Amino acid sequence: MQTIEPQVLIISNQFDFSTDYIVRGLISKKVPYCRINIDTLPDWSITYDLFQDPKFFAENKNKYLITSNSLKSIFFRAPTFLRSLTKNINGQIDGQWSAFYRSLLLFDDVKWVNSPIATYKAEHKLLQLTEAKKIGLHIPLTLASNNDSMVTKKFSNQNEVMLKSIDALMFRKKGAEAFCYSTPVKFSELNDSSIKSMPIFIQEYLHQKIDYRVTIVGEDVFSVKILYQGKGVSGDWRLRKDEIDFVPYQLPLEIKEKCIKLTRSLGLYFGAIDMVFAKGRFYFIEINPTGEWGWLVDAANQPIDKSFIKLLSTP
Amino acid sequence: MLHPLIKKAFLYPKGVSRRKPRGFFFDEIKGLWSNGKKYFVDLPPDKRFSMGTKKADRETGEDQKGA
Repeated sequence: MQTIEPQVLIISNQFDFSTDYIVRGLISKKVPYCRINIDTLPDWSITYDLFQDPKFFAENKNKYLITSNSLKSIFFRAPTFLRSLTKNINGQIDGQWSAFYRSLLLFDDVKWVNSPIATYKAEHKLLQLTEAKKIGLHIPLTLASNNDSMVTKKFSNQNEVMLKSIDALMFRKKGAEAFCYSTPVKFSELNDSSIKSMPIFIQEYLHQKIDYRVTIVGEDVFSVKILYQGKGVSGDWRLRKDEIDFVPYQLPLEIKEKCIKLTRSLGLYFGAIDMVFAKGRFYFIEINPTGEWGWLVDAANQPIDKSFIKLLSTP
Repeated sequence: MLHPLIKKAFLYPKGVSRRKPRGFFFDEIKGLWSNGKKYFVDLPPDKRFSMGTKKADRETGEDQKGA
């Protein structure tokens, strides 16, 4: 079996179909690559050898030898945090594998898209908002707290607010799985002591907003307007994903540049930014360093895949 | 009193996430879904199922955090 020395290493999972776009592009450009799926890691034989120059051997159906001489970039589509629903032994095994593939960080002079270190930092909503504000983007009035008096003090003049979790919140409820989306709620629903047990993230409710998804890949910016029957979507658009249209849109240059600057300042090459337009201005909502983009390639004719391939295959 | 985040959470059935594309297999050599003749991503979008995940959105990154 011939040993391949990849120029691009992809850490993903089998069901991340967006990664298939990247692989297809690398095949057509004849760029040597290796895709390792974290959901099939036990099928691989993987070794780090630190005795001489750091080397990484991986073998499945192909044999790969990864060295800092040949490797140019790492496309990292794996979780930075592992959140197991149960604390059984499988959760522990996953944690060990996770630390194992994260050790690829020893290849510190290659282009990481994105580095798990930068992703870890950038995942924090409060930090993102602070950075966005520093750069000059508008942000909605925001408070994170488990103190109902403080919440009342800041938001009691608003009928409705946007309720969010501080971090992705998933749990089991009534035999199903549950996830907390951004939810518009009446302020009166928050005005009690139940929030003491867990902090909440509250933002002013921006009425008659229009959502935008801005995808940054290197220096390239792809933006779409998100519409339902030609109008903005009330609440979290992800809950109506099959009914909405993603319409390509050219952001004002100033907003575009600030989005690139924010992505850079968080140490990222890639970011999926949510913005809204309301009250005559653009507001930064959040940036997701591990966000999805594959559906926009077809749904909005956005060549995001080509931009990734360019980014990953050039120094 | 129930915490508002718990009260407002969106419920979805367990284990509806990892759907294999019908008629395709994951080609371990090439590293993408294929049926031997064409790649899954070459299909026109209306012939593919939604690239949705176990939640109601398409945020693979979000989804992976709970993997």
